Amino acid sequence: MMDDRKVEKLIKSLDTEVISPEGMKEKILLKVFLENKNEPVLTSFEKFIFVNPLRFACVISVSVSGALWMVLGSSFSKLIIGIMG
Amino acid sequence: MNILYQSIFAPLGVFNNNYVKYRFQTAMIIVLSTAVLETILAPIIYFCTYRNRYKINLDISSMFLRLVVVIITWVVVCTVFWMFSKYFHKRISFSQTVSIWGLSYIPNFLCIILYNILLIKPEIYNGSGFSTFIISSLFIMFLIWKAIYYFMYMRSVLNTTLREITIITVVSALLFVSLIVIEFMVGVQVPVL
Repeated sequence: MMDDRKVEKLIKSLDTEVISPEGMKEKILLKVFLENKNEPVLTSFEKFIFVNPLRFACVISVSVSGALWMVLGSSFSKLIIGIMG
Repeated sequence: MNILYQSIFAPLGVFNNNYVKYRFQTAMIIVLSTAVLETILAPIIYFCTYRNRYKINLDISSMFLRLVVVIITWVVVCTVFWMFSKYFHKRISFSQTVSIWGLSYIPNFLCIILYNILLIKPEIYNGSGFSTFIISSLFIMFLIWKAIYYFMYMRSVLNTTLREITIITVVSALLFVSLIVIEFMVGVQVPVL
């Protein structure tokens, strides 16, 4: 049985159409797709943040704002006035 | 729209692939929309809203200067990131850097909308603790979201080590501060990087 590369070379070298073995085209196509991907190894914490960053950002922002409101109390509203300048 | 939707809710797939159809075009639209909104549309809306109440002028040349500065800062940041990728031997093209960093302008765009809504219609904010909580949550969310895009670019696109990301972050922090100062000097109110 020939390996993938030899079959690929054979297909390219012949003038006449060659019927490739079953599943060969899908294998080559999958190989091309995988080469296009660039997937580094991420930790589970990184995956948790990067898969849906909006969710993580919401959680942190609500927590920080809540903490600021608790700490600053009635002066909290001056924060927005300060940001707006 | 599909790229935009994925960039917001599931960006890893859009960021990781070397080639994504329409990613570059989507990124360009996001960056240009952000720049035009901040430098041209928002000042015009502010002028139209308050011209009868206050004596204000619309400085067209300053608006276009700010537009040019915002676009140049985007190109400068992308160039610096791309140079770092070359220095650390990462296989990332300039167009890939430009398109991925351009997609990270989504939180900038939303932040500009929120800021200008509060500026143009301040009566929306009633000064209560709860409304302050909502508004500050939104601003903090946009900031954290942008930071996550930055780290996602560093970790999942450039695949940097701890040493590499530390070096890039230190240099980027100095670069960002300098560019923010330049933007403030020309009159950009919400930093766009």
